[in-house]
Amino acid sequence: MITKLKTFFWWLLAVSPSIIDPEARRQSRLLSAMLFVVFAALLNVDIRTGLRSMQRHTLPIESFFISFFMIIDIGLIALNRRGYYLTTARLLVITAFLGLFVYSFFWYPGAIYLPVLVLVAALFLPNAEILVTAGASIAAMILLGFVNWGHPPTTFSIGGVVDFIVATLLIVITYIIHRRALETERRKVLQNANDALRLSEASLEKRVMERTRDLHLASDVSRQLTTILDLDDLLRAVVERTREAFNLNQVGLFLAEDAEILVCAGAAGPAAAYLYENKPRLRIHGDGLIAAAAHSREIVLVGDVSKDSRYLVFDQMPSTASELAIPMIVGSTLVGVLDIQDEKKERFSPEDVRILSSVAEQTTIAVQNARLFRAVRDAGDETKRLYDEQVRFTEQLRQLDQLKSHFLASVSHELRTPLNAILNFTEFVSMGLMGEINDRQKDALNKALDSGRHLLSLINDVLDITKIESGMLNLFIEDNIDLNDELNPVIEAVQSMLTEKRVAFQAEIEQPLPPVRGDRRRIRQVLYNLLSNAAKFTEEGTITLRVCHNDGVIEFAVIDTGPGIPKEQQSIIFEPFTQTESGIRHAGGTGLGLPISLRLIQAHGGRLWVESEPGHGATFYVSLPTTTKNSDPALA
Amino acid sequence: MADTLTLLYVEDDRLSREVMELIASTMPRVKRLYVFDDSSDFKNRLHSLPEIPTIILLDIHMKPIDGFQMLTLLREDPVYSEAIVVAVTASVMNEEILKLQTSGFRGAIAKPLSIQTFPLLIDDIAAGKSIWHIG
Repeated sequence: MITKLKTFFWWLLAVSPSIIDPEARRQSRLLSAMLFVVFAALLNVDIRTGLRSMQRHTLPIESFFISFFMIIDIGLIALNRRGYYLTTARLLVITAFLGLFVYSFFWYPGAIYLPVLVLVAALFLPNAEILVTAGASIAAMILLGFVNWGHPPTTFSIGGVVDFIVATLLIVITYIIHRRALETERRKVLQNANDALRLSEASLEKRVMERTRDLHLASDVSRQLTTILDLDDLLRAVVERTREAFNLNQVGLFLAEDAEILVCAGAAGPAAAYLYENKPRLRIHGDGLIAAAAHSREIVLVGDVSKDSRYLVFDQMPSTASELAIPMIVGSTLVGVLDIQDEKKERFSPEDVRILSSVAEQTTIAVQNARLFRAVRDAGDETKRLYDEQVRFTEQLRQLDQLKSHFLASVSHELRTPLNAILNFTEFVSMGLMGEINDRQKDALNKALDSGRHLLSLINDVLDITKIESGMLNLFIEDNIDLNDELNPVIEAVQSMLTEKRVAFQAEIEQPLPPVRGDRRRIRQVLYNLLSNAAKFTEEGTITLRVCHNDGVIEFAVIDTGPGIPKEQQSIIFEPFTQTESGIRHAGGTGLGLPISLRLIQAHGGRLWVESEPGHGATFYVSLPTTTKNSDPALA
Repeated sequence: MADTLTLLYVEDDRLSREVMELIASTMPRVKRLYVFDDSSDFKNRLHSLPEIPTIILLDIHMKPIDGFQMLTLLREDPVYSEAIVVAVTASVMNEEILKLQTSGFRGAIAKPLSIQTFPLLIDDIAAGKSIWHIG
């Protein structure tokens, strides 16, 4: 029973653990304490009132009411323990007023505590409610004063006053003690919270600082890496800076040579010298943590290598305790593995792994950059070499061209100068200017003259074709050329060639011929070439020169009744240095006449072609625009 | 058109000079042919001529100064600044002909000369035509 009561009181006293708001818990606890003091005070009054009633043999009606209020008090405590301290305080106020109501009918000493209840309640109420409560109390007291006018307090004892004072003091002391305790507790909690906050702030700051430092190091490493374009320098820098920046024992970089082999390409730490010297090759599908990272393409982190069966002891690094191998991947290609070893177990925190991964990622990009740069540079070197070669070659060609040009000029000059004397002196003699000659002498001189002229034409042909071949042929364009001026000497020359042959010459020229813009001498050269060819190859029949014009184009046709030209030779005759068999038999020239004529007409923007059937003669056509544009050497 | 012509021929090749003299001797219009056998002291020799030639024929490849330099001297001389100057050359490469045309020669006659055509060309040149008889 006692135990049950004790448990009940402890239950009452303890604030429900379900209340989360610590302030509500504190207030409830304080209010409960005060309500217990009230309960104790009420009990004191109740006992004393009851004893007095028993002495006076009267009904303990006051005790009954006091007990009633005690029960209400217990009820309020029970409510309060749920954390509803505000509601409890309000109910307390209502109870106090209810007590005043009762007081107005039955005066009893316990009623003196009712203002105390109001006081207690007011301690927990918000300011506005305190004002209302105070106002209501004063109003109620005044009202009750009037209601009970003339009824002096029936009982007034020193003991009652002492009770009141003691009870009030108890309440105030309880309040003060609790308040202080609460304040202390609050302060402590606040202090704890502050400490916790400061602590977490400090740790946060520390972590941020560490993270910043790591990122700084990582970005520093990365930044420096991206500026290094030479692959060897780059890899050396990666491992050295990573080792330095993160204070690591050994950093190695292995690059994939192909799908099977990794080759050590960079190392920093105690084993660096050995690695650089021996450049060990690892099989991607072989053993070891580096190979594991390479073929799994995932980060391999081993905090204690002695516990990992994949770990291979490396003679140069016997004290390695933890290892981190990060694969370097671009797209689907494995570029290599960044391998880090340290003598401390569990050396790598998740943060380290993250940052070193980002270093590896940056390194991958830098390696790719360096490789691209190398490729571009190599390509650039090759391009430059080719370009230089091209420039040299072009320069050589230019020099050769110049040489050729000079050679031609001098050949032309050196051959023509003596020919000037040979041809002219021979002619003077044959003309009789140097004295009387007989017919045999004249005949011989004329033969010499013909040979000299032929030699001259050969020289001219060779010069022409050389000019054409080297793209140096220029036309000397003149306006308003009267073609008759060019045709007549040619016709005369051809007719003179035919005097000893049974070949008739016909000229069918559509007069008047329009004025032509072009190279007078070259047009004449082409017509002479075509007509003299016809004269050379035609033994009997006719040679016809037909000239007609239409819409800005003049068409020449040289029609002969010679042997004709087989189809397969019709294109060959326009190639330089390829005389046809019959051409060679006639031995009439260099075989350059037609190729030169073709190029000359093409340079005028015209066309030259042949139509022939063996046995039925040949017809050479020239279609020449009457307005040739200014000479363009490229046309030649 | 003046009925008679006076020619000046500057040529360092002896045979070419003889050819020119022979051809000129067949040309009734040519009253006089002066010949310089090289281009040295060109200006003074020019001024020491008893008359101003109607047409000046210059070989191009000459020493000490070439045909172009002689033309420049002529153009600088007030007496000869408008003279008819024709190149007589064995060099018939295109670029040389172009250079002759742009330098201010009235024409060019290619060697070997022809006793048939040369008098006609001279007539044309004297008549004011620009003649480019090359090749």
